Amino acid sequence: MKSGSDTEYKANLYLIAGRAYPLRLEFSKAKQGVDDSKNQKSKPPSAQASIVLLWRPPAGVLEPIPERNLMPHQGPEIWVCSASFPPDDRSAGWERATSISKEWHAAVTEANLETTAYVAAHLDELAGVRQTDRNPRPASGDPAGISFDARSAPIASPERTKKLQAFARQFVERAYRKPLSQEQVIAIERQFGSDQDPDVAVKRVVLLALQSPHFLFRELNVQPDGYDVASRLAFGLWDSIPDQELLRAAQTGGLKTPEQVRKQAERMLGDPRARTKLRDMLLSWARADHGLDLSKDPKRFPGFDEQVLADLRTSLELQVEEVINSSDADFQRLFLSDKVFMNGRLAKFYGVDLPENSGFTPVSLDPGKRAGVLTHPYLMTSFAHATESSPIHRGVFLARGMLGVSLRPPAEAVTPLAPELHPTLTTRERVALQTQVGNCMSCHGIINPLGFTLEHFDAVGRYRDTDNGKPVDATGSYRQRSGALIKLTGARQLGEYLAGSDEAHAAFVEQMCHYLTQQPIRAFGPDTANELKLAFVREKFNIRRLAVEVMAATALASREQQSAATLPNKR
Amino acid sequence: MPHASTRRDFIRNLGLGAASLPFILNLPSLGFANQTRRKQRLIIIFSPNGVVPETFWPAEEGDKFALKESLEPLEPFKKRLLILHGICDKVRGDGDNHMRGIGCLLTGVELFPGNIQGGSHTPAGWASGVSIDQEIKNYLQKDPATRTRFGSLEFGVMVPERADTWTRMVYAGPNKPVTPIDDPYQMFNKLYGRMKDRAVLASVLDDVKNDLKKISGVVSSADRKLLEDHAGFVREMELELHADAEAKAGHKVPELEPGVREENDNLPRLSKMQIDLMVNSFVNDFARVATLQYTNSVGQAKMRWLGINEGHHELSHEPDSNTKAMEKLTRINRWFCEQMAYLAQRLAETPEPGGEGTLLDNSLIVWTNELGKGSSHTLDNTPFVLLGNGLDFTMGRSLKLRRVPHNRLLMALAHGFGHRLNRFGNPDFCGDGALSLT
Repeated sequence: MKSGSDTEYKANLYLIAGRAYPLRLEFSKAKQGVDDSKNQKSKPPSAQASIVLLWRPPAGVLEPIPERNLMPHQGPEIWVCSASFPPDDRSAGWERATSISKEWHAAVTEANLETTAYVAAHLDELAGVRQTDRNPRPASGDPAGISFDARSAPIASPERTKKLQAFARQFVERAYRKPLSQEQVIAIERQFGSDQDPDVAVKRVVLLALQSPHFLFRELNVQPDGYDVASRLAFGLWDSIPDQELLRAAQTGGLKTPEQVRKQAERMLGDPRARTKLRDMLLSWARADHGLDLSKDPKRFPGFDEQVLADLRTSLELQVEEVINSSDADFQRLFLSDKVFMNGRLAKFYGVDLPENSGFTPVSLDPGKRAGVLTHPYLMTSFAHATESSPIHRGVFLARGMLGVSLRPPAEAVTPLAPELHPTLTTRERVALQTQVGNCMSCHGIINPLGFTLEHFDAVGRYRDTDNGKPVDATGSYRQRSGALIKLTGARQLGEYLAGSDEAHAAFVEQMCHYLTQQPIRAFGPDTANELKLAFVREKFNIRRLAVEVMAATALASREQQSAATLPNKR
Repeated sequence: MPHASTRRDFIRNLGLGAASLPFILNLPSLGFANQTRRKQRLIIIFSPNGVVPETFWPAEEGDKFALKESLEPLEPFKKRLLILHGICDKVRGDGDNHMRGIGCLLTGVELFPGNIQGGSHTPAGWASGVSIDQEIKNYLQKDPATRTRFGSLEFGVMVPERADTWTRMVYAGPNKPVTPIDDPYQMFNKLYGRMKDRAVLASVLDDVKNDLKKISGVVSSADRKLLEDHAGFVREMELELHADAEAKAGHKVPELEPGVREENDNLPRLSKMQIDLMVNSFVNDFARVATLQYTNSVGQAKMRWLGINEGHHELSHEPDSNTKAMEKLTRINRWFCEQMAYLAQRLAETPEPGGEGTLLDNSLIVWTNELGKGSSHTLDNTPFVLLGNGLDFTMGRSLKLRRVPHNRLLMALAHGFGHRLNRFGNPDFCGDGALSLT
């Protein structure tokens, strides 16, 4: 209905990435109500009407839903529970679940109640109950226990109760991720006993299942059985529960050897959920989400607004996705490629020749000077202050994220020197001035020489030859763990070094293992890290194959060794 | 004499100084049940298609009057009745009289232009302002002393499943109509659904604890610690749920007759269920404002249980000369009046929880209609029948006012809650300020 100038209708939705949601939009134009066309002396001209569907994803801007996020297929209805859970432990630098808390349990209960309400409201649909199964006589049972769709009052139809009981059992089996024991089956049957309202019985079963440790905790066995392995694979690659094929493999003993695990993992990588998880892993490796304020001084960088920032983020995501989906998924390309995805708006800002309304397309940006993701304008922007670049942030990113160097936090919190106080110095000179004190140099001796190599990129990621009137000095170095000092000048050399660096490979492998398994890599034995790295090199740095190798090395591991092998992990 | 609304006012009236306040307030002889003001409630009932003036309005003015046929069911409450004749909906603008009858009734402001075409006039959209019940609800929700879980509840009976200007009476703001819930089971779910689920949850916790104990026996020692933590939280939750249940033990959860379909012939049963739910929600203090909308503007209910087989709206268009139709219309309005009487009776026999008197002592029911008369579509003499002592109006009177814009009555309702508006809706009709009914 149209009223006044009201033209905008908004809603908030909680969605999980990597899944397809059915979308339907109906739009019709008419005058509603009584037909008064006879009263009108002349027909008014037909006015144009139009509709646009916009969205604003987190860290994005309001825009029409882009074509790449739409597909012309029907999908099943997906329901996402919106209970809010407390954040996981990030003290080691990556997310893992180490303990449970009162807040966690409250969130679990909230989610349980929400899920139970959804199941109760859609029970007939979920259990496959048809009209013919329902008893046409109105009910006479306990009114307070009736289902809330009581208009059809379908209590006490044996056909329906049978279907509800079958649904309840299937629900619990899916939730527990393994076949039910005889005891558990009897417990469910008891709920559906002679005088219990079947709708209430389903609610009790669902609530019980979702509160049970069989559902809430990943594994209870010390030695993983086939179903535990299936769960590890599903959680690792999909953030979800095992599908029918995995369960079948578990049942028939098809998940006992690393080779069998590899085969399943290869299959699972074809699912969009796996691609999304790998993409998110790469974004987390690139530290794309540290949440600092990315707004820049509008006088220094006119035209750099929210839209450009959102587009840069999309560009980074597209670049990462392209690597994951390419035939060789080559990790080294992350350091060596000089193609950046740009649309018309970004091209205008970064001085690339593209039509103004162009969609995202790979363009060559500053050829020969850039180094893949390392110099992507989004990352350069995020590791910078409002007006100046930040070699320290970039250096920390390279040391910790790329090379796996463990750095202690600074002994004292220090604010960066304001550029206005040292108007004749370049950024490099200012940073060196501030960190030259002996105590600071213990870490800044590593951080600074790495960060300085990216000094050719300003606070919005544009290439520059001068900084504050003086030529940019992008010389730097890195002392390897073996002791050798590597000299690097500029981003290109940095990228080439990292692409071939053993330390960079090891750091990436470790982060991949943490991301997929959410366990410290040493929990799987002292040799696993090295073996995975060697496999990574052998497979020509194929990121997808690395994911498969990680699953093969971890899905069958017994949990007995872990309690002995907990080493403090500062990363 | 203005009756003191707080303990402090009472003390002040006694002429005692501030210094003695802390000491005196603790004296047992001055102990009131609680230090807060009495609860006040507003209920607005809507029925469509106007009334038959001859059989509706009392002939007399003042505090001695006789109730005509349509209002006879309210005879037991005569001393608490306030009948207002002469209130007119002066709002014009887009939309025909029916659309404006319901859309401007509680909002006092014009409708937006839009694409809903009525039987005459220009097409219209939603109302362009907030309705008085939402205005009062917002005022009450702002103050922690009068805040309730929902603030207001919108009930309906047989409201058609369309969203247009004829089916919406309550507005949270311009272009923000609020949908009445006409399904008693859905309303039950809204009020008690979560509570029922928590009760079911409390009943399964024993099984959860047993489960945990069984598993604890077979897992490794590191895992056992996690399971013990989990068991601890489950135990805590069990205690909380039981404490919750005990706190609510005083308030009965209403029992709904199951399997009542939403169809025309069930109107009486649905009406009773909704009224029972409303009274119950007041007992549990879920809200202080409620609206009850019977069908919609141009409503076509067929009151077969009264022996009337024609639709309400088509009957309302019969000329005055058709005495049979007029008699039927009178009986229809009398039936609506019986619903109001049932609500009043339920409120009168329910004691005010945590306070004195009954719910009716602290509630005001306002029965109103979209039109003054159905056949002429007049917006003059819009029916307003008030019942209850919730707002300190002087009750037990029949007033004959002179073409008072209804905005002034809406403002008077707000004033009754202490919300001293000096304009509401279209300011052109608020000039003379709130109607004085005290």
